[in-house]
Amino acid sequence: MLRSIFYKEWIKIGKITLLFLVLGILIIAGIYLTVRHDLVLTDAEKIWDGIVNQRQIYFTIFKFLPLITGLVTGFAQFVPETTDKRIKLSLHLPMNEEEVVLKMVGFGAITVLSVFIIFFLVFYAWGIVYFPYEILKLASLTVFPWFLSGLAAYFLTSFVILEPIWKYRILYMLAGGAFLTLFYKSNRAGAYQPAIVPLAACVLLTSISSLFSIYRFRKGEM
Amino acid sequence: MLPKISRYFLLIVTVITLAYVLPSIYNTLFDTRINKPFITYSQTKKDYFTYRNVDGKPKYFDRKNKEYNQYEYLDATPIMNFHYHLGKGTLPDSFAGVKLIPQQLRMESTFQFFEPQQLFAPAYGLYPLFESRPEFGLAYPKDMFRINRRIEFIDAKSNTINEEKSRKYLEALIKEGFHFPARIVSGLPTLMKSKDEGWFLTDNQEQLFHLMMVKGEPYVKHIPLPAGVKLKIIECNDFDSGEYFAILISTGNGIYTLNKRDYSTTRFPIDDYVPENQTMNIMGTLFDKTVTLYREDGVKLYTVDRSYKLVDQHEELVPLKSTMTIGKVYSFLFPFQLSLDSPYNSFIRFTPVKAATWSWIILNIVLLGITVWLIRKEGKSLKKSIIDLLVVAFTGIFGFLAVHIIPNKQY
Repeated sequence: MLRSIFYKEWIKIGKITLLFLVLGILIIAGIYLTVRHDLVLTDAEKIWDGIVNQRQIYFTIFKFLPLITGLVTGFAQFVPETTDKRIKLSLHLPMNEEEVVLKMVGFGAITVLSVFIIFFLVFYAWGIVYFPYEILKLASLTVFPWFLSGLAAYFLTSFVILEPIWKYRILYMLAGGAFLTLFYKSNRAGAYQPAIVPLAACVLLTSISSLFSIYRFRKGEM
Repeated sequence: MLPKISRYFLLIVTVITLAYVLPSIYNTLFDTRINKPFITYSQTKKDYFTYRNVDGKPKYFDRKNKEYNQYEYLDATPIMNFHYHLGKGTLPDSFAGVKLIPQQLRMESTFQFFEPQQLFAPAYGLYPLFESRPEFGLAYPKDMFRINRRIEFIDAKSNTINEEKSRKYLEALIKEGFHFPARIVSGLPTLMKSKDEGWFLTDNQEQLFHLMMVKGEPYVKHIPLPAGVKLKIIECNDFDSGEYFAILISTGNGIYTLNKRDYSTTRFPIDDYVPENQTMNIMGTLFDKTVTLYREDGVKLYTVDRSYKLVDQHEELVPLKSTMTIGKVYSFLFPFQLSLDSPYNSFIRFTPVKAATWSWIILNIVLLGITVWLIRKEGKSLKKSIIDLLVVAFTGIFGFLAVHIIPNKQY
């Protein structure tokens, strides 16, 4: 049963996941090919100085990619479920309804997380070729909140789409949108270091939010 | 059970979000500017002059609140505003028996500031070591150093450690008694300076050192500190006066200069500086230095002479936002605020800030009453809504909105 659920979910989000994976890797490649180009054309120490002392962030183009990945994956996975209330079919499977939804969301979250891990590994491994670990450490602390916002966006998208009543969907969107702004409050590299754990805890709190929407759906809210 | 838990989780996240967003919106709409007064010391009048904008015109007031126009102010502060008097040809020939030479006035005119955000800011821990005695002007070094368990110079082009240079500087530091790792590393990592004085470091045993590169060779000097003094901040400068390398702030918040002539330190007679939440600036002239401490509730100034003896001091208070209408309404609406960014900190940090007064209790009680009324009106059980009621009681408007955005349907 688990394999079948995962297969069904993969049919919905497989192509979009691969598209974002390729897009993200291309963006990271673009970032580091630009760095390499600058290192060839200008003095390397000036690029380091720009990052270390002038507070330049060489990867800002990457900023909203995790957020968009999370949002689009959530859309791709749950909009087909709510069209013509197809989710009813899943909820009538011979297993606990909450378990079905948790497995669907779990699969999507693992997929999004896997894409982010690949992004991060490529970002770090390519970066360490040109920069010392001090620069990559602060760069990592800068991109972590962006990845967390992507995961939060995925969970909240599923929560909003599965909600049966439009009035509440709009309220959830407003509250969720406000929550997502918390991940983008500073443009300074490494500034989020003390906030990463609290933000990760908040993302964890949103991870089972779809259960609440499904609960309302099951109880006949229309 | 799980759906109910998921709702409570969502309530927590919504309260956190609203506790940041609503006060931010309120401040964006209604915030008022509180101008911290700009105050200068007049050597000739032995008085402080406060700048205020009155009906769009600059006005100056002395300590007795006597009003001066801009011309009168400039005449009262010939040393501070010597550029103006040079242009008009009204600079006195001498003051207090000292001949006023424009070039010397310019050299001795200094300004340095330190704000709390500099103390709490993310740092890379990579530093460029300039050639301090270059043949042809300052040039940016090809490498940067890190100083953890040892000192390592990393070549920027190849991103590899220059082992030979690293070993040479490691030996020089160890020879001078440096204990790794470094705690504070302070310098001026820029080409926008007239000369380079290298870096000032404190080691693992709170000792102070001066590190420079002179003709490609390491220059390391252990600098004795007054007994019992441990440093918290070193703020370097590039003054032409050549009087001191840096301002040192001790862990006891003492303010010192690190003098260039013999690496000695001189303490300012100031005991109420708190670098964690006050901005300090030091304005120097040929005759004195005025230290200004900007607090949330006011400004305090100390003027010292060339031998750092207190000449005069002055304090002005500014109204606190919490005592103004905007602050009173704020305290009524919000029982607390979740602060992420702060004027005292460059980091993003989840900091709950409680309201200045307890007036929010009234609104909390009203909102609690409305919630009870709505629960009864919808025919729900109060017993099953006890957590929602507690959320509203303790978090006020944030909880009230949260429990209605995420509804508690009792099926």
